[in-house]
Amino acid sequence: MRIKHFKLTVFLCVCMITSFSVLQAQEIQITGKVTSLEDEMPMPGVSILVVGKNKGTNTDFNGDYSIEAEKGDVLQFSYIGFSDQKITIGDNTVINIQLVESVEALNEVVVTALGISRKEQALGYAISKVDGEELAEIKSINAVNSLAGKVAGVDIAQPNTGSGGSSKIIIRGNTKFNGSNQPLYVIDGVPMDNNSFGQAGQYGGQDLGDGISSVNSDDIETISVLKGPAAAALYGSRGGNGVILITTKSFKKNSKSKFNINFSTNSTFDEVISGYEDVQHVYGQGIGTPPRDIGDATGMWSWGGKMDPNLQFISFDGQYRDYGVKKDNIESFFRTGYTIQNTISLSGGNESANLLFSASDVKMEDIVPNSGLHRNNFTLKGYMKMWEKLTLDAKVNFTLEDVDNRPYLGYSGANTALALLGLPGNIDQQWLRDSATDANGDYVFWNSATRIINPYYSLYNMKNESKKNRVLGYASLNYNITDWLDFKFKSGIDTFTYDYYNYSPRTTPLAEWGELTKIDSRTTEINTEFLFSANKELNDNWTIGASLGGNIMNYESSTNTILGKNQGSEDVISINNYNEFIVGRQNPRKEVRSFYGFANVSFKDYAFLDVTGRQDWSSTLKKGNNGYFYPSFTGALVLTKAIESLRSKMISYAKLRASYAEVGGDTDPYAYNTFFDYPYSSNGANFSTVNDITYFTNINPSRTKGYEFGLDAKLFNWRVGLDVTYYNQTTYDEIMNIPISNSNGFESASINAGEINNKGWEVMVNIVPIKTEDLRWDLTFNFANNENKIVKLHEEAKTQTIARADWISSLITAEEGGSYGDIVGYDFKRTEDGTPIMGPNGLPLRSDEQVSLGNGQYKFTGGITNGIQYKGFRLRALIQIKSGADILSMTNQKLYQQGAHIGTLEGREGWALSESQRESAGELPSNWVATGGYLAQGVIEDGVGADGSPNYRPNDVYVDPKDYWGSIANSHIIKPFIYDASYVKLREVSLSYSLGPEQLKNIKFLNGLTFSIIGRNLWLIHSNVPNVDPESTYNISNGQGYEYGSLPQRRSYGFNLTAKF
Amino acid sequence: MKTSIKLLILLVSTLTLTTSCEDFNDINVDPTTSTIANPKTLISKVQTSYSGDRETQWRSLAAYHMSITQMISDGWTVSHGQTYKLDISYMEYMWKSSYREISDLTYAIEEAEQNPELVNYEAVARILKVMIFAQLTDTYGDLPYFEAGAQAEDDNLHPAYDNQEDIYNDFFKELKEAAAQLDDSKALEGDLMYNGDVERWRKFANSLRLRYAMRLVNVNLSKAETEAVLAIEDGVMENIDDAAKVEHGDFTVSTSGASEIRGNGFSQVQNFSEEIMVACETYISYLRDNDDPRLLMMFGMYAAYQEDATSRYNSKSSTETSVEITDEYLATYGVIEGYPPGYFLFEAAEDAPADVWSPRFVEKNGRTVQIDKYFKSLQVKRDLTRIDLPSIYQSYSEVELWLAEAALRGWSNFGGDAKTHYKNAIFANIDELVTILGAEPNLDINSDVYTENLWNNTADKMEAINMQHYVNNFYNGIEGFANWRRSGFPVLKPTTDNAYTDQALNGLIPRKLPYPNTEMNFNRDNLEAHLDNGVNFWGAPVWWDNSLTRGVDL
Repeated sequence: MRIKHFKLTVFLCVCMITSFSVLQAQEIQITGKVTSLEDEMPMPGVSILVVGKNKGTNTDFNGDYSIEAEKGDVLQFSYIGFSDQKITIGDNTVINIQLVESVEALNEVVVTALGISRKEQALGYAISKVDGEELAEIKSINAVNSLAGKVAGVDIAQPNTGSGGSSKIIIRGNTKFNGSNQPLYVIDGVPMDNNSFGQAGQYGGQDLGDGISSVNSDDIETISVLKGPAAAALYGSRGGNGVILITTKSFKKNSKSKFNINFSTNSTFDEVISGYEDVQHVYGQGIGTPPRDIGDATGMWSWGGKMDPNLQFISFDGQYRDYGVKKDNIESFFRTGYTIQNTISLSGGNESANLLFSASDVKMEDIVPNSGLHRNNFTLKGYMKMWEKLTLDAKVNFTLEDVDNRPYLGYSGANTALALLGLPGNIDQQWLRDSATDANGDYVFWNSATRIINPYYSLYNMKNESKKNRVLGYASLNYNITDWLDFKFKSGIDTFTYDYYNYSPRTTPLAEWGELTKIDSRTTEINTEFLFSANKELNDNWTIGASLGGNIMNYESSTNTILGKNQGSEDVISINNYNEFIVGRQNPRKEVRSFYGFANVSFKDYAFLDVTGRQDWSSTLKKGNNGYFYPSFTGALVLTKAIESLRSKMISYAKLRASYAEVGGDTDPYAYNTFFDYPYSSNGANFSTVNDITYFTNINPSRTKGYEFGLDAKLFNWRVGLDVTYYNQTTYDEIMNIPISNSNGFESASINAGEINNKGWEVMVNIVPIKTEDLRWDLTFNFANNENKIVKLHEEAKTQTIARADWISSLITAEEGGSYGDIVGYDFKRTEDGTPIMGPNGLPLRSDEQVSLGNGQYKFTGGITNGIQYKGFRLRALIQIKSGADILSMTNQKLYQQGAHIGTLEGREGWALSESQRESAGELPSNWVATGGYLAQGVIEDGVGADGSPNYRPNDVYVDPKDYWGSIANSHIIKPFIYDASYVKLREVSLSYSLGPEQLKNIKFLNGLTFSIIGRNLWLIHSNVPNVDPESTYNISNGQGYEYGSLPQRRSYGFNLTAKF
Repeated sequence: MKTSIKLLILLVSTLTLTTSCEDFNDINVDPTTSTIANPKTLISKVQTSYSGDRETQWRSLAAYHMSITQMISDGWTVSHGQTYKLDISYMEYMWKSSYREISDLTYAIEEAEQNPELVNYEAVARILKVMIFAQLTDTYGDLPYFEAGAQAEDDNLHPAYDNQEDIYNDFFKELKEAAAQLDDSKALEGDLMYNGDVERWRKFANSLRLRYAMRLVNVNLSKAETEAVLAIEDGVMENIDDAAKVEHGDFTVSTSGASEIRGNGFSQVQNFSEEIMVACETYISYLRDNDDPRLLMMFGMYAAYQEDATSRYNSKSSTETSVEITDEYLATYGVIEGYPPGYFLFEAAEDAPADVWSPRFVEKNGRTVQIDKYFKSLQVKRDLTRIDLPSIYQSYSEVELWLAEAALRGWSNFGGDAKTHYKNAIFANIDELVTILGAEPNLDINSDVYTENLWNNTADKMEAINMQHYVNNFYNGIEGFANWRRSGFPVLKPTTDNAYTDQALNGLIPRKLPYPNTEMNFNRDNLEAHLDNGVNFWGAPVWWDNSLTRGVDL
């Protein structure tokens, strides 16, 4: 505890010193512009490296750069296809550079682990970079969602979870059953806690958001994605799933003034594209006939008569209305949502001391009425040279986020979509608005499934709100001990509070006496680290570098949950207004101590070898067995430099890379204790019970081992870029909970188990088909495939359950020998050759066992970006492709059962005719052979053959389609509702116009102006899933592949304006 | 040079830190929960959860035990046992919660053993452990006993299975030893059953011994007699104050929060707003046809005023908005009934009346009450659906019935003949309904005359006695299922033509619950020899039952 306070104090002091001592600073800020010698055009994205120091930057869109350096330092300018230039800093602080096109160089600088800038050509592993400007142009409320389709091998799911929802990123497949498979997020070198605050499960719930969703996209300078264990080895266990490094913007000197103002405004409108193309508009509410009494009227069945405006029916609110089709009866529920994001940033200073302040405001009103988000971000980032050898930089960021009425998802009775989907075509959703409550304000039942709540009631009478306040910051001291040795000390903090309440008034179904859930949560993670780095150019051929560092990670979270039941005054929504309470508290704590070192050697600037090693001790493992060491080795060889003769017109550049790495892993806090706890007491007696998980006595740290090979090539005179990676990684001995025989008193055991292998290819291709002075066409393809195999589980448990939907007898599992994420459930009973078997009554039979019917993980992901630039105009379009996953659409299951699905039309005419024939013949159903109706494809058992095996005849028994689909639903046959979830989407389109230097020459205060028209999710080009978006999962859990009661697809469009002063 | 020294100091000081790197003190100890087993709180919890755990009471007790014996019917969840619908996920609840309770008690015993002052906790934990194991083995048959409970810490994931006969033999030993261990001079706190009254615990232990001895009459009559006589001699319950019951807490039922154990679990099921439960005609008819005063003490007709009838919730007896209309309904329709066995409420029996799907109406307080299909059957009286309704683990009435049977079998004369014990049992049961459960007394019927008639008019006295067990066990449904199999009363007509019926039963009635999937998957080697010819079949009798047809109306 004391250590933590100390750390916090140090952090705050350092912060204050930076903020107040700006004026004393005295380092040189070098600025300038980089242009191409050939056409004198500004060159964006040129990397600038201070030679011998781990420091670098890139030029901005206008070719401008600024970097702090000392007099005598050497700046190295590099750009793909251009020769490097080195300039020694003299008295001039403005250094303009003209680069010469060349086949010599490929020296892009990227930020790697621990924030160290490296030349890309020296790296032995794959790293991908996305420019912040690209993310800021077509903003997503959740900045990382904008990565979708842009980086090979990064699979981004955007679950359909409404305002402030989480996003799910998987890099190179799933490796864990219990823990998160999401990457580690590191913002300016500070790891960010990205735990989800809550997710919908099989019985519904809400997505309460995650950490990363609140980052302001305008603040992002670049995002680097470190994909494999090699890239992540220095971040420890948490980096095992890959690392997403976010670097935020800093002060940049521009050519016109010392004081910069950047302003950006973005407005988009969201609208429902509609979803319900595959809903029938022929038959209305009822069973057989239009509703004749209240009982019929509250049954949400679309098995009634043909809709006809001349007929009358009684509706759930007791009124008589016409039985005609009501146009847009569901779609009219949704409104046009909008999002407005404004960011202003002010920065100024000089080479020795500078500050950047940015403030942003995001307001979003969802398409679901009465639901929205409001967020503010404030950032202060500064740098200063305190004295000759000591520099300090620090940042503090505040985020305040407020989300109103996060939607209930999936199975939740208050899920608006669940209530609206399958609303019979003769009912207009607007009638629900007028009859949500009675004169006393009490809930009015409208649906015989009492659980399904009137959506107007759930949105306007029930309430939920979450408030998140977050502070993320760091202070870093850099001491230049000698010309070849640096010492860095950095302390970073990520701390936030999360307050949430969820209110159900009295008379709400399933909470009849009124309930209020309140969550107050506080989480703090502090990372304190030091690093010695040495770099020495031994001679013209050899350069060596070595670093040694350590880190202490301290995590504590504290959550109090109170469920208040039995509301007092009906007008007060406050936890003290309840008569009963159920109180829960969680207080996980964790500390990890680490030492790490790395060394690199390079020969003649074409052969590179890196070695890293890290030793961690985790508080979550048992003393004596809580330390683990893991190494990595990476190498790169620039073939075209090593063997000059390889270079030709066709092959401009080629680099091979290879790496091997291991990452160790720990487990969650308190996994080792047998504890006794029960939240309740009654009649004066306190209760305790033993926890239901036991652990094995010898748990070892888990381990991931992986290798990758890659080829980087530039072909056809640099017009074509190719980057191919093959990776293969295996996770061993995950610490996981396996179900065990309950008869030893526990439900599961914590155990080392499993061997999961992921391997695949990642390919990125850049082509510049046209490049003239005014016109440039860029075409980028990226695609990746991942093959997952559960090599081994545990002798006790050959199958591990990842997610469940018990109400429909389905599981998502991983089975030994199979792959992660199988969707398991009942199929039709089938003959040996696979034909479905019907019972003698023509209704389907269910398979004896639950079988795997699909897999919810995408095997193939990719994207195609087209960029066309003509003078100041730029058109960019991104098409995203995903395939190889399946989804169980329980929405469609429900639509079939209720008779709302277009597929339920088959056989209705025939059945009606058969029934009228029967009635005119005066026969009872049991004596009548139907002459028409639904005829399921399949066979019926028909006697027994000579060998005792059954004979079959083709199914010839017509049934009522209602009975057929009802029978499928009741027997939990899910096979018909498993769809191929592959899709092709037009994800992003933008058309922008930027004022170039020519136009701005005469406008003194303006440095840049860009106006864009933008659109996101404009067109679902290809999908196999009826009625819902194939991306509509209801959570971000490991168990993907379920969809239920999803909100409809939406698209957004609007404009973006960025101005620099 | 100076720099190098500084560097050296830094390096050395960093390296000294590493020596203590793997010691984290108590960071990995959860401050919100205890790591010490406290026998008192563990026992209090088990006493409550045994009958208070909503999920177990719902999915095992109500959905199977009470439903197979045709005590109750409902709209979906509870009629699994009425139609013999196989649902392993429901059936495993009791296995899970019981082994957890056994684990709790094992920890309590281990802790109490080490301190002579805690001897009463040890004894009480042993008694409760027998009671829980008995319900478990009666329900599932052979199971892990000697190696079970809280032993996974020894990395034993595969507890061996024991034969029911060995398990029962150990029950007698355990109960005998525990009763002898109880010490009046030592403390017993947090006791929600007898408030620390050690003498009553002794009687309870002996009464349980009597119950389990009687269970053996079909497989080992002499053992049954020996153990029963010894138990009675050691002293069994003598009045309703001796009855084993637990006090429950009161709270608002909802789906939110953890699985709730504080309240009466069976009441929680009835209060649960989506659940609709009515009485089954098989059970009701025995009371009604014998003019039993308990019928109207335990059950009534409830429905909602017409304007509230849009929601079924409003017609449930447990809901305040419902109206009791027993008298009005009787006056209008002439008879009050339970729901016919073998059907869900949304189905209609073959001989259902013509108006089965239409509502019926009566007037009450000048307003129209609408009785929809689901509510044309008797429901449990509102008073008896309250959340803090005590649960009876063994009634004095039950003990009197055992004494009646022992007397009838001529084992010995314990203070009266079979008829006296029989009548005592019924008086005690009526008394327990009022005194313990808080039912309103029914003064219309003279119980002395009624009991006299009932005894005299029943030719088979064994039937007379065991039908009283059946009536009595509405508030101990697990015992009801066991005693039906043991005694063959009541004779139940099997459900055969329902679409949900498990056809593997072949026209008979389930006699146990199948083993949970966790046992099939994770302890199969040990389980294999105890399956019914390799099949996890719920039609197979347990050891003491040994019959496929006892109690079945063929």
